[in-house]
Amino acid sequence: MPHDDSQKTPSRHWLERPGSVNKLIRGLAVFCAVLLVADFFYEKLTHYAWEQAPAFYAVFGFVSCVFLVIAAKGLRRLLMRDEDYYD
Amino acid sequence: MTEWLPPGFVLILGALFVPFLRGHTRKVWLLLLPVLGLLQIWGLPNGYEWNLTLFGFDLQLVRVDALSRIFGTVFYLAAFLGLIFALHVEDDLEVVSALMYAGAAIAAVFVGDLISLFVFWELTAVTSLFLIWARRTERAYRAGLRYLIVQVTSGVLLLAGTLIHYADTGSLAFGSLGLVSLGTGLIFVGFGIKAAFPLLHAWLEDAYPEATVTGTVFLSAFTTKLAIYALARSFAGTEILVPIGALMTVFPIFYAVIENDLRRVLAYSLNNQLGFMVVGIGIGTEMALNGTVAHAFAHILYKALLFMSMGAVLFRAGTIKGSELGGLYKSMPWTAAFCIVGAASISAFPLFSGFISKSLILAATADNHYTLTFLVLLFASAGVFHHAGIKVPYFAFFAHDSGIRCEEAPLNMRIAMGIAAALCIGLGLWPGLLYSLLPFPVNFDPYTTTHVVTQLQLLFFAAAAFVFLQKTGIYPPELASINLDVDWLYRRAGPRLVAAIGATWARTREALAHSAGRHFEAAAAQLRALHAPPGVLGEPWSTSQATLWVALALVACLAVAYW
Repeated sequence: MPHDDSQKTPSRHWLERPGSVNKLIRGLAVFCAVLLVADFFYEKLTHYAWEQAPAFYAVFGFVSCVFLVIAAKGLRRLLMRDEDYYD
Repeated sequence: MTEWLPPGFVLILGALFVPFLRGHTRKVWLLLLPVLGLLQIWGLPNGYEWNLTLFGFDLQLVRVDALSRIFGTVFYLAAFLGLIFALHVEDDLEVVSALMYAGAAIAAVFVGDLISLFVFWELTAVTSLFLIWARRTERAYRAGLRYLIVQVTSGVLLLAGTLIHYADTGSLAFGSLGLVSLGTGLIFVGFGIKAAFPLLHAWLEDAYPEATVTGTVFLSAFTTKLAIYALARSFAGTEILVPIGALMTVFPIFYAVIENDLRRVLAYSLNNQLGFMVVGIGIGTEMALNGTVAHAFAHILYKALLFMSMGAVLFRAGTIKGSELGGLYKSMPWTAAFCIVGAASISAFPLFSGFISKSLILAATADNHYTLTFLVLLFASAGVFHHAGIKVPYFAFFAHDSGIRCEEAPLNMRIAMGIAAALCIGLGLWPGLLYSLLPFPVNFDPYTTTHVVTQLQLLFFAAAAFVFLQKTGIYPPELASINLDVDWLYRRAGPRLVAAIGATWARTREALAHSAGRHFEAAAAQLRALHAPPGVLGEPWSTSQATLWVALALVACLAVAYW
């Protein structure tokens, strides 16, 4: 999260210090792990039976996004043009 | 005021005074108008009507019920936020057209007949055009023309459908119509254009990013949500809307991932969000319609917030291209924070507004056994987090440092974004506030353990996918480029086709003229020889000669007559 002090002080922002980004990524990994474990500790009330599969939403979220990005990247070959294409 | 002025007219008439006001008076006036308007509609009871007969047509200028009230309310809120955001703007054209546009949309929400709807439908088209033209660039001028043509076409279809429907049924009522005849079909397509149905959508992504910094904020709120309102009013439960909506949630997110103009990314995600609402209308149960209305309400606020934050970036940094931005969190920390709130809301993070509204639609989809649609909406939910939730704030404020150092957004912009962000969080924390305004009673709790955990799983693992794709270098970089969309058909293919037909015709005509030329020339020479002055018929006649011929002609006539 950004802080307001970055404008006034010439010292480097926390985000710019080496290792900060890795800390964020590790934090995200911990969060993901906690969420996976959490799946086993409550009664999952779902509409469909397949939603009951442990980590269904986690896998769905990850796979969808990887598919989305790779497919979109492929679409670039077909759709991408120069900025002044229509000018 | 409540009795002699239809809702929305406070803004339309109030706009006329704006060019004569300057300084603080003008600012106070601008902020007072939406407040007055909001008080007016909340002063009218449900069931209030204002009917009149004009040229034998039964018109209904005002109809107040829960559906029109909630849309009117959020439209006034959006106008209020937009006006704060635009408080520094001195361009009369822009301010006046923004006010009239908002007023026309609000008036349209409250009318009860299709003729009045048509009038305000077209008024929103014409007034909003100037928010694009006020950018005063060649590109904006051309985008505005295309926008106008599409919008007017939508209105023409609405009018044609209305007239056919009137001839069929004798009714002009703007109520439940259903897709049952040619007339209602035309109205459906007219609504569908404004709601940016797939293949009818390109005007949105084409025009919105070309409008002014403040204009896009207004545009994002009214036109498409007016269409959502109209669809909910007239086509609730029309099943074809379910696949249409599902398709709408999906295809724009692919574009959003590779689009470079961050306001255009937001336009694509706007289109995707409309898809969720359209699905809700198609399902048509009370819960689904509640979901659509709640999502429209939440969406107007977080979308305005996102467009405000990107507008502020454009205003200060002078560009909105992902390939040129990055690292702006140092210069614009407040704007970055507000943008993240908007991003969390559109991504439906628990405790933010999108979570409590979108889940109504998803639950209704599952309850009514639209399994495939349910999965598509889940995919789209992960996708919207990916591009609107992560990509927009990431490439504008973080990523690699672009070296751009600029001022933080002006105070009025920060206040507008602050209020919008507070509303996004407030609705997420206290969903009952919004649920109590919905057209049907709500028996739904978004904050169940299952729902919170599954949604967090979906979102955090989508975020993990982003990190994974970035780290492995698979994620496509932001490139200075555009992507072809359906508008290619009328911007490139159409003109080329017309040019090709024209060239072919010209060639054919030339060839014909060449081959037939000699015959034409011979005939022309003959005619000239006969009729030009030296020819027999070209010679001037003497009076006696002429009299003789006239007399002979007379004799011939008499002979024929007495035969």
